[in-house]
This record gives sequence, C-alpha cells and structure tokens, in this order.
Amino acid sequence: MKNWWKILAVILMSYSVIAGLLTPLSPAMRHLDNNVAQANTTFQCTIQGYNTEFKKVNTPPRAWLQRDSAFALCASNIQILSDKEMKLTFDIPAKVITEGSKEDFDLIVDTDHDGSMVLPDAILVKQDSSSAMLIPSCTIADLNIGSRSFTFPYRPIIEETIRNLYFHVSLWFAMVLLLMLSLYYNIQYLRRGLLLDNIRSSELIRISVIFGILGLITGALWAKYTWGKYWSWDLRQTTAAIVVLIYLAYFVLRDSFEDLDKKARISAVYSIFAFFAMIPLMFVIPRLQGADSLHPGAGGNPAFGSNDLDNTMRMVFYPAVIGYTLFGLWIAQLWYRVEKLKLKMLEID
Amino acid sequence: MKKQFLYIILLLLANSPALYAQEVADDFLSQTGKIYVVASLLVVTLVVLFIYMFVLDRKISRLESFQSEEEH
Repeated sequence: MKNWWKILAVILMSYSVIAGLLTPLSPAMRHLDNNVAQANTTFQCTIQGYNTEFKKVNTPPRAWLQRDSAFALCASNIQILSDKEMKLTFDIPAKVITEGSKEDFDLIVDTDHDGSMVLPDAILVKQDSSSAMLIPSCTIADLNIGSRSFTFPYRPIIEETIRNLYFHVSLWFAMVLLLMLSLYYNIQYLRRGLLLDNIRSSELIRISVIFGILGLITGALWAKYTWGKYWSWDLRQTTAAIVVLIYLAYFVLRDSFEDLDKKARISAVYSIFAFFAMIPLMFVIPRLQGADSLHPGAGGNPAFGSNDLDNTMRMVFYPAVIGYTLFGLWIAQLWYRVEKLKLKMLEID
Repeated sequence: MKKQFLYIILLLLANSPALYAQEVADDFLSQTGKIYVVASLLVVTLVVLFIYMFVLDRKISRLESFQSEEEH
C-alpha cells in the first residue's frame, strides 16, 4: 500500500472534524442575574446553565459562596426551575469580609448529574463595617465529576469556539512542520544539487503559505467574535503575518529568475534564511517576558498549559495536526509531480 | 432644534461605552454559544482548499493538452 498516508490524512482530518464538532462542552454556569450582595441580608440569584440538565439530578444539588480557602458559605435554599435555571438563596452573615468593604466571592454549584461548576469572582459582597467574625465555614467536599466525561471545557466568551483550536491552530502547526521538511529538502539541494529536491521544497513552501493565509483568515474570524475585532495588531497576529509575507516574497524572488539553476540556488538560500527568521517570530517574540498578546502563551507562560488544552482536547488536537500535515504533504506532492512532468517535457524539447 | 439634536447625539456618545459593555448576542454568528463561528472557519478552510484544487486541476489539464499537441 503506497498511498496509506493519504488515506490516513483523510481519516485523521475527518476524525478531527467529527469529534471536534460532536463532542459537547462540559456543563457550566453561563449567566447570573444578580451579582451584588449585601452583608446581613438574604441574597437570591438565578443561575443560567449551559449544557446543563438540572432536572436530572438524583440527590439535591449543593452550592457555595467561597471567599478563600478558609471560608465558604452554604446555600440555604436551592430551587431548580428548569434544566437551565436554578435559583440560589444565601443568608449572608453580618461580618464576612476580612479587609475593606467589599470582596469578590466565587460561586460553586455541584450536582450529581452535571458535576461541579465554578464561576470565579462571581458575586461581590458589600459590608458596612470592615471586620470579619470567625464564622464556621461550610466544607466543600465530595464534589461530583458529572455523568459525561468526554467533553471540552467551557470558557466564558470563548464558549463553543474552543473547537476552533482544531481548525485554526492545527493549520499553524502543520505549516511549521511542512516548512521544516522544506528546509530539509533545500539543504539536500544545496548539498547534492538535484533540481528535483528544490522543486519539492518549493511546493512544500507553497502549501505552507496557503495554510498560513488560511490561519490568518480563520484567526481573524475567531478574533472578531472573542476579542471583538478582526485584526487588533496582537503580537502573535502581527508576527504570523510577517512570516507569511516573508514566505510570499520567496515566490516573488523565484519568479524573477529565468535561469532554472539560478532560480533554484538563490531561492534555496533565501528560504533557509526565511526559516530561521520564522523561528524567533513564531516561537520566541510572542513568548518573551512582558510581551503582551491576547493569544495564550504570552508573557512567559507555556502556550499549552492545562488551562488551554485538557486531555480530551489533546485527543482531537494532535490527530488534527497530523491530519493537516499529511494533507498538505499530499497537495505538495501533487504539485511536485506536475512540476516534474513539466521539467521532463522541457528536457524533451 | 439643531442644538437639541446635537445634545441628543452627545448624550448617546457619552453613554455608548455603557451600551457596548453589555453582552450583545444579536448577530447570527454569536448565536447558540458562537457555534457558527466554528462553522465559518471550516467553510473558509474548505473553500480555499477547493480553489487550490481547481488551480491544480487547470494546471494538469494545460499540461495534458500541451503533451497531446507534442504527440501530433
């Protein structure tokens, strides 16, 4: 089976689309109708769940307002209104805040069907006097994990677009992998002087640029609905655009030579420079300490911490990367075969 | 009248940050947890790759016609 990797490309890409679209998001709290509470009063709020099924609980749900690791307040009453709505009542004591006159509390809701859901800094508790009494704290224990285990995490604002990881980030990963392969062929060309190696590498760069342009367009679309603007001159956005422009210039350079050998040698040298310009632009500058980017992985953080990619997402993301890379390789190979035929015909002439 | 109009515009401008600070989800792509943003990404990717395939197809056709000319 000579073409097994083409079939693998189709299987992996289909898998990433199907699993990427059909896996549900984990149940979460999406909205709160009331988020300011006054000490020494009864506080009521209705939470709106996303993908939740509150009606399916077997044991009564539990809810807490958590100030810090030392103190949490139990809900005094929980009423399930519908699958998506739950009304919580808290009796807030007179003195609950350690410093100042207001403090953010996290809201934690736990049901046996949907698992535990956290809304950080959800409710602002105001208090007239700035002292805390030692009130016995509720213990948060035996949290449920929920009935559905294969889910993607829910993040506010990002919501369902977390799936774009497979359709946007994999394009960039595939681009870099294909560029690495093109670097290999270019070095081979410079060492051995086989024109076919140079054609291989230039076709790999061609599909990489297409992937890069696709990455820019898909990224801009995603940014519009999460960051608010198609193009916000975000650091990584800008450096990625520069990389694509550098590689576009490769084709301008290539087309400006008539002589085949000259074309091949100069473009090979240029593409090696381009590759080593890409490394800092894609991997170093956006991660520098103090670099400000909306992308994950800015300011010295690892790009794929557990906050951005959990194990369920890894099971779709890495196959997607391999799938896109093989698909790009396939397209590059088709172009290569066309160019090889052309070259043969020139030789016949 | 003109002054009143100006006043209203100024009032609107002054209030606008408060207006867009609210979570608005009235356009099509923001519905149902923004799932249509994912769909649009897939559509863009597919359309570009299809265009690419058509270009390749045309190139091969040209090569084929070139070759058949040579044979004659």
